[in-house]
Amino acid sequence: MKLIDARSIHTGYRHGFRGSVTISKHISASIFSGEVVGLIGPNGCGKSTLLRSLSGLQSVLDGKVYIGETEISHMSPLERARKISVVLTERVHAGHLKADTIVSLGRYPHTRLSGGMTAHDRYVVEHSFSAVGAESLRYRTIDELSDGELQKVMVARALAQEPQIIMMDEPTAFLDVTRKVELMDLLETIARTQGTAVLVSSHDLELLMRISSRVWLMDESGRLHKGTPQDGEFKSLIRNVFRIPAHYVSF
Amino acid sequence: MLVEVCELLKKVVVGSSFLLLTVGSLQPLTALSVEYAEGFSIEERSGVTLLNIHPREFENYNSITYALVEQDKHQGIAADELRERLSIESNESELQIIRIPIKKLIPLSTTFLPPLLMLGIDDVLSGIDNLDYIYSQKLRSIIDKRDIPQVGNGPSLDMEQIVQLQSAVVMANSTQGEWNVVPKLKDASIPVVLNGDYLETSPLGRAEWIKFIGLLCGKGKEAEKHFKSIATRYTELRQMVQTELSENTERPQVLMNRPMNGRWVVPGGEGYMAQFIEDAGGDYLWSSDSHSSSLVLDVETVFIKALHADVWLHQYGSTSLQELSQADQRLLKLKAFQTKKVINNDARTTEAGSNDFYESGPYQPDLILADLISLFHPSLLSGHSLHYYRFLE
Amino acid sequence: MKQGSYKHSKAGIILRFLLILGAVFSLFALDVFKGSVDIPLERVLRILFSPAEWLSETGGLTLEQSGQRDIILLFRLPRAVTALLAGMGLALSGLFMQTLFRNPLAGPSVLGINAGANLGVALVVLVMGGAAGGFVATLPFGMKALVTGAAVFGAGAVLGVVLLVSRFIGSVTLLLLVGLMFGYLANSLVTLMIHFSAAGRVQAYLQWTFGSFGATIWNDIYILLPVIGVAIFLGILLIKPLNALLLGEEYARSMGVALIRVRMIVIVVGALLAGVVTAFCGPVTFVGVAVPHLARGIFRTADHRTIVPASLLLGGATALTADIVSHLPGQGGILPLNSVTALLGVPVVVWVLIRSRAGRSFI
Repeated sequence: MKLIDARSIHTGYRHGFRGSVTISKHISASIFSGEVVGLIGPNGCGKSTLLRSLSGLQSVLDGKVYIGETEISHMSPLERARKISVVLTERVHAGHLKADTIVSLGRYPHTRLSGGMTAHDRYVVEHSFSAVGAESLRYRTIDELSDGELQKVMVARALAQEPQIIMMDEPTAFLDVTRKVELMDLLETIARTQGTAVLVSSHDLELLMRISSRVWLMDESGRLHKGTPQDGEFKSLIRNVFRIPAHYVSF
Repeated sequence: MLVEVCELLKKVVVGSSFLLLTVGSLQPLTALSVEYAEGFSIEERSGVTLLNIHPREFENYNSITYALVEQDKHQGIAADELRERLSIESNESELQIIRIPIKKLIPLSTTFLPPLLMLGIDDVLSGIDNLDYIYSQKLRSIIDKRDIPQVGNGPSLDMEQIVQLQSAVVMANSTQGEWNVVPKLKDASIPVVLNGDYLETSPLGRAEWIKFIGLLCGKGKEAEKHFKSIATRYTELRQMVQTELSENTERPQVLMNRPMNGRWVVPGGEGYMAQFIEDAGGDYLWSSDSHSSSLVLDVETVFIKALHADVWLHQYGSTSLQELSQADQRLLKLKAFQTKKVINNDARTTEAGSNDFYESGPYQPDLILADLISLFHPSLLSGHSLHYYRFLE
Repeated sequence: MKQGSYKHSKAGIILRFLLILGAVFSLFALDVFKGSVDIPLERVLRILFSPAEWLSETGGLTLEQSGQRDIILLFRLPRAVTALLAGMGLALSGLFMQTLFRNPLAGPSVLGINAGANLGVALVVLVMGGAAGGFVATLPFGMKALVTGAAVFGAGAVLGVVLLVSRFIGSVTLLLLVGLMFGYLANSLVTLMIHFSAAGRVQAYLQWTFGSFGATIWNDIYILLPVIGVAIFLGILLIKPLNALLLGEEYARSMGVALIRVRMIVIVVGALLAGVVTAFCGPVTFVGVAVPHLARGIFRTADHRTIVPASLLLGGATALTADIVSHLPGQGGILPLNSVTALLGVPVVVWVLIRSRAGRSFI
C-alpha cells in the first residue's frame, strides 16, 4: 500500500519576506508499507530537508506530498501524527522525565484532551517498550540513560504513536558500533513484524544497505536517485557520489 | 557762670546726640531672634547678620551660615577672610556671603512666594519654577505682567535662563539626589540659598521662616512685625481653645488621610498636622506617637481606630464622598463618613492642581487653626467660614 | 527500577500533595487569624462561621465587635484570598513561560508584560493627575480604578505586540529576546518619568512597586477570581501539549501539537495571569520564577500533570507565607511584600535545587 507519495516537490526554506532557498527540485518518490527505505547522501545535500518535508515538519516550496489520499498540508497536526512519527538526531533534554512518560507521550495523537490513558494506550506503551527491547529502562529517568538507551526509548515513543511510517533523521549518529547495529536491526525487525514503513537516513552506508529494501541516493545537487541495494549499477553510482574508491567498500 | 553751664550743656547735648546718631545709624540689622523654628537661627556680629540653617533632614549639608553683608560693606571679601574678621570659628558650618538686600530672587518653591507679597517686595521676583504650581491669582498676574520666566527645578532646571538673569539669587529647598540644584548653581557661580521651611514640624516654626526671607531681602523688621502678629493671633486662638474647653469637654477624635495599596499612611504624632489638631482642641488618633514624620501602617490597624473617629481630615486628592466610596466601600463604615464629617484641605485649588494650603498656608497658620477649631468645636468660632478646608459631599 | 518502586513513588507523590495542601490550608488560616490588630481566636472563628455575625448590623454588636468583624471579613479574608489567587496565578504563569521558552530563568515578567503594566501605572501616577507642589505627597484617588485599568491596558498592549511578533517569528528564543527588549524599553520609560517627577509622586509610585495583597476589596476579587479560574482551567487543558513541548518543538509538532496555536494560547494565558495580578497587587516578584522550580525539585519530575497542580498549590503557599510575614512587625508596621518574597524564598529554592541535582537540565 502506498503510504506517502511525493509528486514533483521542491524542498527548501522560506526566509519570511526575503524569498526562499531551494535545496532540491522535482523530487518524486513514494514509500510503501512494510518497507525500509534508506536515504543516503553526502553532508549538506538536503537529506534532512527532504525528510522533514515528507514528515510535515517543513512545508514544500512547490509540488505536493500525499499521505494516502490526502495532501499533507490539508491535514491537521493530529491527523498527520497518527500517520507519521519521527526520530531526530539530537539528544532530548528532558532529564527529569521518566522513559515511561516519554513513550506515553507517543500516544498524544490518540488520547483524549485530558491526556488520560486508556487500557489500550497502556498496552501500546508496554508493547513499544518490548518491541525495542527496553523494558528494563521503563522507570529510569532520561538523564540516567546512555545515548543508545535513549534512542531506543525515542524509537519506542515513535512506535507508540502507532504510525504507518516512522521517519528517522540519522538516528545512529551519536551511537557506538554495537548500538548502531542494534538499532538498525531493530528497525528492520519493526518493519518486518509490524508492517510499519521506515524511512531512515544515515551515514552508516553498509548497515543501511543491509537493512533497506530500497535506497534513495541524494547527490550534491539535491537530485534523488532511487535503486536497490542489490543493483550493481546503482552501487557504482553510490561510490561515485561519495567518491569512494572501489576497493574500499564491501558492497 | 550760667553761660559756661549752657555751653557745657550744649556740648553735652550735641555730643550725646551725635553719639546717639552714630550709634543709631549703625542700626544693627536686627535684634531679631528665632523663637519657634528649629531649622535656622539668627546671630549678629559686627554689623553682619548671620543666618545659620541647620534643618535636620538636609542631606549633604550639616549646616550652612549665610553672612548677610550689605552691598557697601566688606567689599570684595572672601568667605574665609570674613570668617576671620568676624571671629567665627571654623566648625562644620560652611560660610557663604550673600549680598543684601537681594534685588533679584528666584524662589524655586511656591511657599517662598507669599512672603514676597506680604512684605511688599514682589519686585524682587525674577524667576519661578512652574506657573502651574502657583495658586495666588495676584502672583500669577504679576508674573504674567512682568513676563517672569519659568526656570523649572531639579533635573530640569534651566541654567541658561538663570544665568541670563544676571546676579539673581536662587532660593532652593531640596538637597536630595537630582533635586539638589546647589552643585550645578555653584559651578556656574550663581548664588543659591537653601530654605528648609517645610522641614519644620511646628506651625509657628514654619511661619517664622518669613524672617529668613525678610532678612535676605532687607525687610527684616517688617518680617518680624508680620510674624509677631501671626504668632499673636495663633497663640490667642490656641489659648481660647484651652480655656474654653474644660476637663470634661469632649475632644473629637481626628483621623487623617486614606488607605492606598493595603497601607494607610498617617502623619506622626509630633508632626505639623498633629500639632495643629491638638492646638485646635482635637484628639488626633496618633497623638501618642513620637515621630514627626509619617507612619506607614497596615490598613487594619488604622481602620479599627478610624471606625470611631469623629472628624476625618484628608489632604489633597479626595474629591467627593462618592469617589471615596467607589475607591473603597469599606470606608462607608467609618463614623465620620456616615455623619459626613469628611473634610479636605483643597478648598483653594486651581485646575492645574496647585493648592493654596501649601502655598499661603504655612504663613497663615492662624487661618488653618481657625478652620480646624470651627470644625472641631463649631461653637467656639461660630462666625468663621472655612478658608482652606471644605466638606466633602 | 521495578514496578514496585514506581508504585512507591506514586504514593510519595500523593503524600507530598497532601502535605502541601495541608500547608496551604494552615497558611490561609494563619493569614486570617493573625494580623496587626489582635483578635482572639474564638472571636475569629465565630466571625467566620456564624451567619448571625455576617448579617447583623452594628446594632447587635458592640462597636469593637463589629470593628473586629469588619477587619476579618472585609480586610483579612480578601487579603488571604487575594494572596492565594495571586500566588497560584503567578506560579502558573511562570511555569508556562519556562516550558514555552525552555528557559529556567523565565517568569511572568519575561515577556515584558509586567513592564507594560508598570508603564501604565507609572503614566497614571507620575504624569497625569495634575501638577503638584514640590512636596505634596498624595495621589489623586479617583484613580484607583484608573490605576488598575492602566495596568491591565499596559500589559495587554505589550501582549498584543508580542503575539503579533510571535505569529511571524518562528524561533521562540527570538520571541524571548523581543519580550526582554520590551521590558527594558518600558522600564526605561518609567525611570525617565521618575526622573522628572516630584518627590511626592515618586513616593506614591514607589509604594505601588512594593507590591501588596491588601489592596483589594471583595469587588476586586469578583474580577480576580474568575480570571484566574479561567486561566487555571485553560492551563489544565494545556497540560498535554506542554508535556509534548518538553521534548522540543519539533517532536511536539510531530506528535500532533498545533504549535502556533498552542504557543499563542500559552502566551495569552500567561500574560493574562501576570497582568491581572500586577493590576491588583502591584508587581510581585520572585513567585513566578521560583515556584515552578520548587515544584520540580520537590516532585522530581517535569511532567505537567504533576507540576501544574503542584505549582498552583506551592504558589498559593508561598504567597500566603509572604503575606503573613510582611504583617509580622508590631504596631501596624508593614514590610514591603517584594522584599519578603525574595528574602524567604531564595534560601528555600536554592536548597531544593541543590538537593535535586537540577544542574543537568531543569526539565
